[in-house]
Amino acid sequence: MKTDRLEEFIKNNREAFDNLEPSPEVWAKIATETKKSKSIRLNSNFLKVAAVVVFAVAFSVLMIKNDGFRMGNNSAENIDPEMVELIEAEAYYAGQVSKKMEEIEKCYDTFPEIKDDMEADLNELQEMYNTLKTDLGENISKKEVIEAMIENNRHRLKMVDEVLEQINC
Amino acid sequence: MEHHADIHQPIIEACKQGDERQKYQLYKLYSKAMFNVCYRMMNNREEAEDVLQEAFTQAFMKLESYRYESVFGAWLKRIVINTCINAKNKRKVELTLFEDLHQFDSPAETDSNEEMIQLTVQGISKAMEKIPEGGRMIFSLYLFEGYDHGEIAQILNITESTSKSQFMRAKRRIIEILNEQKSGWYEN
Repeated sequence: MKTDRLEEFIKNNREAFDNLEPSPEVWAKIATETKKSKSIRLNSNFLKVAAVVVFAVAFSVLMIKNDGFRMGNNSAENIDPEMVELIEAEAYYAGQVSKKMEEIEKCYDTFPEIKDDMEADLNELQEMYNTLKTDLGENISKKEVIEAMIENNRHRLKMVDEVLEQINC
Repeated sequence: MEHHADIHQPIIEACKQGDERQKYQLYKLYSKAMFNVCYRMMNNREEAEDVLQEAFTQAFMKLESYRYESVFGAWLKRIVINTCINAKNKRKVELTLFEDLHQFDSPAETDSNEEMIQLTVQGISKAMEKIPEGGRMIFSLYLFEGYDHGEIAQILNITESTSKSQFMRAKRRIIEILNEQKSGWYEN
């Protein structure tokens, strides 16, 4: 069949035919629509993971306390290298996040719906962070708590990075 | 049921959990290809965008039911095409197919020039915009989206033989248009 040249050409150049781009408004509408039907729950996996970590730490603190098993009194004469790591990580992530938040805040006018979302997510992470800080003060399971705190910082940075990429304004 | 591992499985799973940012990632991965599917079906940018929006909104709602039985792109494409068909049906206008008259056009002349035709992406896309709607959809579903005539018959609610004959006519008409374009260029 002679016309198979046409079929052949289309098959060989299939990718090149997908040359149109939808306008950015399409995503804006989809985002609004899907949000309407969104159920109230933690809106990402990492928040769930973080919540589990907080719960586990809080639970173990309670258990240990109830047993009357106290590990206090261990005076830290030398500065713990893990604490140094935490302080450094905290400073680094805070710097990165606040720099990126400035960028995001500039876009609040264009994407007002982002403001509430961002603030809700950041507040949630901050609350978890505060719980972890209290745990750290109790001086129990220090290694796990510090790891969770650093992980919390990492999530914050990842989140602002993703938002920045998404709004791109 | 066969299970298709998908390289985007982590993103898909995050979307199932309601992660808004991952939904945007998923949209970014598939929106361009799906928009072009919509455009070939609808033949109109504005309608194609409306359909794309509706299809993605639906896909996100139905995502829970996606269990990797097919690759994600194929699952999504089926939703996109169904949304296109529904949009067409809403207008309550019969699908315009090639009329029978067309088969009496002299094929000999067209075919003799066919070897000479210069095939370009732009030329073929333009020619597709000019043929009757039903023929264009069938041509597009068969050659671009990879459905066979049995599947197309089911999607468009026509018979398999109609799908086949409309496809042949669409192909012939596109060749004719490309021929006209070619002679048009020589005249200029």
